[in-house]
Amino acid sequence: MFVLGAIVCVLAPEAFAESDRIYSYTTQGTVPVDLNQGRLPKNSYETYYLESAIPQPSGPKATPKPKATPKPKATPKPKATPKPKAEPTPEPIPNPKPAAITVTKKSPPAQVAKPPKSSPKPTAPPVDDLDEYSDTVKIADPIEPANRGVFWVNHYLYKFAVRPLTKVYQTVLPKPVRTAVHNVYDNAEYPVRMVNHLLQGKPGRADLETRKFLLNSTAGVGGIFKPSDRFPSLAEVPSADTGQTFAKWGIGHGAYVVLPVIGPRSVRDTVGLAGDVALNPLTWVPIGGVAQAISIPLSTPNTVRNMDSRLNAYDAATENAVDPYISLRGSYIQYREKAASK
Amino acid sequence: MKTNAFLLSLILSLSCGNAFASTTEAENFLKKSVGEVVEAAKNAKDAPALASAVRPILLKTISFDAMTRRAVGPGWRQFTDAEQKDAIGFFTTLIIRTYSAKFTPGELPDVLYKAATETAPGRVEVATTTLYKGSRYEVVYRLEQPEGKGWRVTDVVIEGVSMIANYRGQLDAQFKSGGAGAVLGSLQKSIDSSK
Repeated sequence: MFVLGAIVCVLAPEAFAESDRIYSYTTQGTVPVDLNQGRLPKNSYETYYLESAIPQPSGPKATPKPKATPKPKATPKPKATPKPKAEPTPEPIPNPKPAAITVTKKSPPAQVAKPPKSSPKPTAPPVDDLDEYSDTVKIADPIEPANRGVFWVNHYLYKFAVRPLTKVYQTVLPKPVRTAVHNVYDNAEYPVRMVNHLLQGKPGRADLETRKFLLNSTAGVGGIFKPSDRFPSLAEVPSADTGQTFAKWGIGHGAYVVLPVIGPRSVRDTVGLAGDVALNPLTWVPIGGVAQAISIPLSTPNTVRNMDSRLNAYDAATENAVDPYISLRGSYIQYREKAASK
Repeated sequence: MKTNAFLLSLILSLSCGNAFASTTEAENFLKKSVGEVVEAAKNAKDAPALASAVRPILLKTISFDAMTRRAVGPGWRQFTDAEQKDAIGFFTTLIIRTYSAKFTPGELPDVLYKAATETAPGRVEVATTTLYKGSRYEVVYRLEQPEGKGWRVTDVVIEGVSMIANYRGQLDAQFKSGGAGAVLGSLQKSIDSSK
């Protein structure tokens, strides 16, 4: 029975938690907060109160929205519910300090320029029970005006130079040739992925990456073909780069920057990009007499071989966007967070 | 004591069984809907035709109410009924256009379904690997059952990028700068500019 109890404790901890529920104050009164696996919502601007800290109503007139009031308790001298919309003047929250839980990340509340609406939706909560998007990762953008400037320069550069160049590339080279070029370069970048897997403490993935490299270099004729795709364990090895390694080491994004031509980056990933370039064999030696200065750009992410896929990603983020700059920034940061979490 | 233990075991097994039923139902619903979209993409001749063809399918597959509410964020409660209705209408058009823009008529994706999981009570996430135009994408569909309407998709997460989180960042900024009017204006402008 003890073992069974322990199992239940693990599976359903809330059943054994303290009976106090968590509430927040809204314009609708006190509203119970749904805890996500016993945790408060992240990055919320709300202040939360334990049930025991919420003052009880002094009478029916002081509780304009009884539905939102927590279950009544036998408190001898309850005070009025705070923030009511009805006639009685609300009293300030009576000493909420002892049980108040304030989420640390605080930002100024929303500033609404428009005058208050005549008939605000009476029951619409600010976020519903399953809304988790306030948790979305954000990045500091202290030089936003400059970044926006570079963003638009890049936008027109992509539109009038890069995209036509990509079209020419696609027209001149048939798809199988383009795929072969892509595969060869991708195979050659094996050290970037292998070293970063090791630096992230994932020798298993480094091993898989090595097998993939050996298979594609031999059976794939120097990486032209990709026989590794026939093996799910090799096909689905997550990519690794130096920016991800920094993330694994606990280094934060730093500020958001939009680099000319290259596009969105965080400071961390910009430094990581330098690491990737250093680990890329294409930058170690000149190839076929091509000067190293030319081989370096070939290994950077925005080379002609993957322009098409990068432009597709760019289009996906900016087309149909309300604010293309914010959309690209949000997409970039979410994408990098996901990549670092793999 | 033995009775209690039996009841606890029964409750646990029933709750696990319910979760399994939910994930299976949601996954089947998604498979059917994605199949219909792929079929529409196969027969469409160009992008506008594709958007028209997938619209009725998406209208019964996606919960646009939930999507719009969450995309707008905390400012939603300050919208009037009429503004909410307008916002849902604009956002529906935008989402259908965004989703259908990801397909090229004639080029069909190959969708491999992974295990569906119940990530919160009432929410199921179905992870897929989508092979499209020679590239491999991780696409996660979030499904819920809003107001007993049956399963509906409430978000699509492609390579870690949530469609709704992305719009939330944009629309929340609009709301902070100019309230509901700014949100509606920006949605309308976006629809007009991408016509």
